Amino acid sequence: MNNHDERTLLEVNGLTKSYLDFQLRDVNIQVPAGTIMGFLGRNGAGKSTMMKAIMDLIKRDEGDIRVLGMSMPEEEVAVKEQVGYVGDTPLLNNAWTMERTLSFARHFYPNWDQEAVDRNLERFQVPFDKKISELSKGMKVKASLILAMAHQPKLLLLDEPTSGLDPVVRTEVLELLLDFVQDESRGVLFSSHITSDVEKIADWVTVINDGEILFSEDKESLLDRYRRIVIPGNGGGKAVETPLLFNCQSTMGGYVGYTDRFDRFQKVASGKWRSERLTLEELFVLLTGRKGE
Amino acid sequence: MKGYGTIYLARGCSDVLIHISQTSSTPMYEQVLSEIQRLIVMGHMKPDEMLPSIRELSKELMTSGITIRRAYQELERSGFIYTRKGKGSFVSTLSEEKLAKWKLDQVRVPLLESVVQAKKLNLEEEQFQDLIKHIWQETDEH
Repeated sequence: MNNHDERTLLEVNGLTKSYLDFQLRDVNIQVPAGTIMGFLGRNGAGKSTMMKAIMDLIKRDEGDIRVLGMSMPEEEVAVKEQVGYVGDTPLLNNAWTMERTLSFARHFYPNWDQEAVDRNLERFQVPFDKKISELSKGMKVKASLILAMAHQPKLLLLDEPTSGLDPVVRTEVLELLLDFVQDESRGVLFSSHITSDVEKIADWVTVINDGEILFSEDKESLLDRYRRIVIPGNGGGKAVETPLLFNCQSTMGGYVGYTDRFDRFQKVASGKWRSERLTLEELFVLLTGRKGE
Repeated sequence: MKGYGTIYLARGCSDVLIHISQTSSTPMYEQVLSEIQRLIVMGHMKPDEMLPSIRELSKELMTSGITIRRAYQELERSGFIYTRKGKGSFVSTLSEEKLAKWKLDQVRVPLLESVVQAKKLNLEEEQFQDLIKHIWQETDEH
């Protein structure tokens, strides 16, 4: 393998995992330092499976996983000191208070940052002495995040951290993630099916569909190269034939199609047309919804 | 509490703020770009004044860093700011012509739409100019 690039926090190469009815196929992603990657997929697309495979909570069939250049699972202990993971089922013990949870957990990590923990508890007003079972869903998520960040990891792996939360708590969580990457040396990979959360704060967008990565790309260039193209009137027949357009449809006022190479389309297109940018949500639905049905 | 998507760019100066909307159809980076251009052109940010870091602004505006980076790149390309490696981004000194041109460009696009609309509705050029005069005076009174 080549030397580890200091700027890459997480590298996943050729990750494969087969189940009877589902397959994670040849996953390749990289999370650079100082960035947030949003990992988008529909329910059941393979988001949690990939997250768990990275943490070696499920055994992969093939592939290479490196965190800060260290490989999983061979250097698991060292890797886990650098990673804060919050899975789809919180690992908090419902019968314990946050106080007890934290004083228990701190013994396992040499880099435990009690000051940051206190600051975050204060900021999010997470009750210290109530049992976890008595906390609201939002509080539980915040408590898990505080716990995951307490040992000063370089990388946060968060499985659907914002799903099921009200808009205020969701915003707080997103702010916490933006906070986390402030010093440019840390990074976040968070999965979600809430496209607006990803569109808001992610630098990189990775979309998984049916176990396969459709793309993993910086958000600005992604949203830049896709356009909805509207060709008014009935003179659009010719333009619609170009291989640069897909999902073309006749509408009352003309033709509508999509392009994923807008710069190219601009150069070759003639006649009357106009373009519209897509939101990440529109793009996501276009690429993962109802294909072939 | 800080307003959503609003940031006081120059500290201690309450009318210097960026306002962006997450729901606008204008791309985020363009909103950030034109807001900072506005602050520079209107003299709210002085030549050689340092801009916030990309990460700082990204956090304040609740926007991804890559969006802010893109806005800063465009600002640099269009000569509004300059960047010193390892130090940060600073406001450039702009010529009077450039300032005047930018201001006119801001009005040109919406005006163009209005002119096209006016022609579609068969209005006379004189009627259109009267309308502008009227609106100009009307808004003066407030």
